[in-house]
Amino acid sequence: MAELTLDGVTKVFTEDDGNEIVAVDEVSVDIEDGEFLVLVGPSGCGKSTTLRMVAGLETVTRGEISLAGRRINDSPPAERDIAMVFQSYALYPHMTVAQNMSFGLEESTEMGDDEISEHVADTAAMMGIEDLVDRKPADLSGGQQQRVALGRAIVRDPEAFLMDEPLSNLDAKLRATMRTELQRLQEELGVTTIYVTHDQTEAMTMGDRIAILDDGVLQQVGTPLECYHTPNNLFVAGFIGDPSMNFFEMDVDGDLLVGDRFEYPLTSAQSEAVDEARRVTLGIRPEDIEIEADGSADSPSEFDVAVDVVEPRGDENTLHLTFDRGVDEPVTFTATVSGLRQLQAGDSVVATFPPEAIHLFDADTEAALHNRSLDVPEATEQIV
Amino acid sequence: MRNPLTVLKRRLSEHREVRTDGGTTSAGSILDRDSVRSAPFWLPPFLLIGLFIYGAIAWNIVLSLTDFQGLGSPDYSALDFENYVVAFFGGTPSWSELTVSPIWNSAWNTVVLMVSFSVVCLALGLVLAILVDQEIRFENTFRTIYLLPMSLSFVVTAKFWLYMYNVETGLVNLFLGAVGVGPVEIVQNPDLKLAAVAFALIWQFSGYAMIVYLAGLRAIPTSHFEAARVDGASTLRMYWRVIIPQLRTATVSALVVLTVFSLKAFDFLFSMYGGYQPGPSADILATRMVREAYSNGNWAYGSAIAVILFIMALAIVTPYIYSQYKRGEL
Amino acid sequence: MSTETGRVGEWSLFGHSLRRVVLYGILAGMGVFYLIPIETGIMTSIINPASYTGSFPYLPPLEPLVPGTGTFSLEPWQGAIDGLGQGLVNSVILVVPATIFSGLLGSMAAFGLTTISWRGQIGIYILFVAGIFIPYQAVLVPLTQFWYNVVPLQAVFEPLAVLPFVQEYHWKLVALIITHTAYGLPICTLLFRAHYKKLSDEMVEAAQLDGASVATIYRRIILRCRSRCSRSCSSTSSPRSGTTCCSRSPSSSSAMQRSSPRIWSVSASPSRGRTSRCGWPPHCWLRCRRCWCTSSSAISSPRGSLHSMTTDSTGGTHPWQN
Repeated sequence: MAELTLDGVTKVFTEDDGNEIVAVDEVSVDIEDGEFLVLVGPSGCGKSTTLRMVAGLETVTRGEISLAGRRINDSPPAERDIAMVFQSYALYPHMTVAQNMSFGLEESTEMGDDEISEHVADTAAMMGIEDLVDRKPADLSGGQQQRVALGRAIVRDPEAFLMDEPLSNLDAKLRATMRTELQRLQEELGVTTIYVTHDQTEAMTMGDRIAILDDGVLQQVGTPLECYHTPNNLFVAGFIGDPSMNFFEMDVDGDLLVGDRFEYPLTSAQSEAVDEARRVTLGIRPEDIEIEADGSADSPSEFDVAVDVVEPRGDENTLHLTFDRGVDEPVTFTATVSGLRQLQAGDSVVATFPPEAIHLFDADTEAALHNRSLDVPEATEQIV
Repeated sequence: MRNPLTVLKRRLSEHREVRTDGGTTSAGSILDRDSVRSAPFWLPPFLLIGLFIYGAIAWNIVLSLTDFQGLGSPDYSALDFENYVVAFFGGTPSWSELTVSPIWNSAWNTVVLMVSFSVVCLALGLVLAILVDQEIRFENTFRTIYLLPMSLSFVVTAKFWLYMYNVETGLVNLFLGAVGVGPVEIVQNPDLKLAAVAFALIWQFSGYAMIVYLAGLRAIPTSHFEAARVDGASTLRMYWRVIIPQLRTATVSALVVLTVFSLKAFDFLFSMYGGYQPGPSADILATRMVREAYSNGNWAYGSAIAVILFIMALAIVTPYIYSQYKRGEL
Repeated sequence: MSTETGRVGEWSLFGHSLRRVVLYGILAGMGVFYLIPIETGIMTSIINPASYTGSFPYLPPLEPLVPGTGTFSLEPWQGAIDGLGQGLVNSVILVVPATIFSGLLGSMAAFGLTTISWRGQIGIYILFVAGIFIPYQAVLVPLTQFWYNVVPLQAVFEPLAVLPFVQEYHWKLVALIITHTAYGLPICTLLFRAHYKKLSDEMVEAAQLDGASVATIYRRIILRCRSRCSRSCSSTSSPRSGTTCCSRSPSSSSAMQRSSPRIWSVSASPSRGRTSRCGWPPHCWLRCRRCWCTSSSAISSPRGSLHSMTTDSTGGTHPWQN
């Protein structure tokens, strides 16, 4: 059972002048055997440092890391039975692909040469690179190098895979292909994997669970959809989802939220959730905003807005809407509608914020007070 | 019918450049070509080295074919390879009554010095570079200390090490005495002479090898080190299998420089032994050449030895320059 | 920079891992190895010759505290200056012009061969580079012939001996200066070329489009770059820059050209000792002032950001950025 446990893992860097930088702050995650956990967050949030601590390339200041029940804080990397895929692949340029792949087995196991060659050949076949085994890395394309790096990790049959942004050096199309292939591989091999990325699309599509970090602090651990629909705080809500959630700062006035440009009524359940908070941030995802080209704003959750910019993406249109009309650089929020709708900049539309789709966050603590309900709405969308 | 002179003039003054759309255009006279325009810059230095380096080498080759000896001027009428025959086989040349010994002893010493000096220097430089690369504090201080010997001239180094090797008062013997080995005559000892010279030269030049290797090490991405560690390699294995093979360029570059330098180690031997004759066990081709030419007056013979020395240097340097040129790193 | 450098799973000794203790021990030991001959020499040089016993060569004169170490005296230095004084002057007369000319001509040659591209220049450049590796023995006899028998420099110089500060034997120095300029040229060209290669091609092309001739480019752009570079060089944070040549050791050198015309002065004036002012080959003088900040930064910059230093120096900041 190769479950990986991080318990209160902390990393503090001490500079020469005595300054202390807390790169990772009390991160605790329990990763089950065979699980694909994605560590995601903006640049500098400590995800790579966490990964390196698990690999043994950084010392742990406080906390415990255990693999398969064994505490590995003090074991050197070679003894942890972990394989790592680096962002730059780190293929040894003077060795052929086969030699690169055999290296780990030669150094960390007692296997004979024949056995090693057999393993290497099998893994190369699995990765689709059996034709490339005698080439040097410099002769390979980026995608091929990536496969070799993966193959090098796989052939060692470790207890855990660690991957540090392995797809970030590939072009977009290749990245999409490799994403699915990585997922398939991981399911097939069933090895516990920690995958670090700054790309939230990769996180959403690949992970069994995702762990979101910001500034060294763990924000939320959960399945992608959990993090998407029920974020713990403002950061997670804003980080997950593309285009990201719209936020409006509002003051609480009884049952009403009062903002700069509009007011919004709260249901009783939402009021209860808001409780004592004086200021809240209202969040709503672009795809939840309903747009009507004609009509007027009748109910309190409907607003007259103007379209500022339309970004057609083919499958959907992203509309940048604004309450301010005729201003040079207005403040906009986004909504997405079907790609078949014809809307233009300058149009006036009615935007509806359905009450069941809003999120409420405390403006000061940024904690989530109320998340959207997950029941599928009864009403069908009107296509105009 | 055009005046041929006009045609010739036009040909000389026109220089057709290929345009990017495939046509050609006359880009002005020959005087406008870049090679000519920049000639005032590179031509004078080129002429200078052409005379002093290549001209001198050519002249040296010619001289080696004469019988020039003692005072007077060389006689360029009767050129032969006699000097080379004597150099390789010994014998009595036509310009001398005495037998002249062949150069094998010097050649052998030269090769031994060259190989031992280069190899040990590289090895020591590599070890130092790996140690200095370990993210130490005071790195600059250590590097400066290791490079300090290079700042000395050969004369100074020779004198310092003569002093170090002194039988009674030298530090080396002091150190040996502390370990229990009796005082050993080093400087005049035919068995230890060459080793002593090589040791002193290694002392002086391992700093250079360290610098070259350090730059090479710094060019290897950290992820290679880390990947090797995660793959299970111990530190020694990591360096041996992953890092050192990637230092090939640095090794070749340093090796060429050190090897060619050791061919020129005349200054050191001259200063250490205070004369033209360091003794047969430390006699290298360079010292032999200078002795034959300036002490014995056998100019032509000296030239012949010098040509042999030059060919040895050429044999080391040409492949190197060629490979640099082919790789575009020149 | 963080000093968090411990490796995982190490032994610890007084708060520092055993590995680091051993590492620093070896480094310090090697430091002693490299310094001890120099230190011994310095210590011996301040001992009174009369009281010199030869025991404890590495200790300074500490009589009567430590018997046998001799008493302090600057007499040896006095003797050295007396004996080598003339040689010192000769060295300066030789070194300064030779280096200046070498550097100047080298910079011109490198410019003509690098900045403006034309066909065949690499062949000419190879001839320059090959000149670095010439063993001087291969050219000694012809040069002796040249300066003694072919060129009547001695005869030309004799009448000039009546001028103040000029002596008869100075013709040999003139010969040396010219010869040494020629032999310093290849390495100067190499170093300057490495520097010029780092200059942006586009900058030169833009200048050409603007109508600058080759000479104008050299004068107004390249030379300015160089002086700015040398100024920035002396103000960079490298501990070795900003000082005079003598107290400085190089951070790197490619193809170290060591044997200078010492052999010449030996045959020209055997009684003179040969010391150059700082122990550096003369063509290294110019290097002190130039952009070896790039090569020192090549080594002190973080791993993975540069290419290996073979005959080129690479990396470092662009002169215009300083």
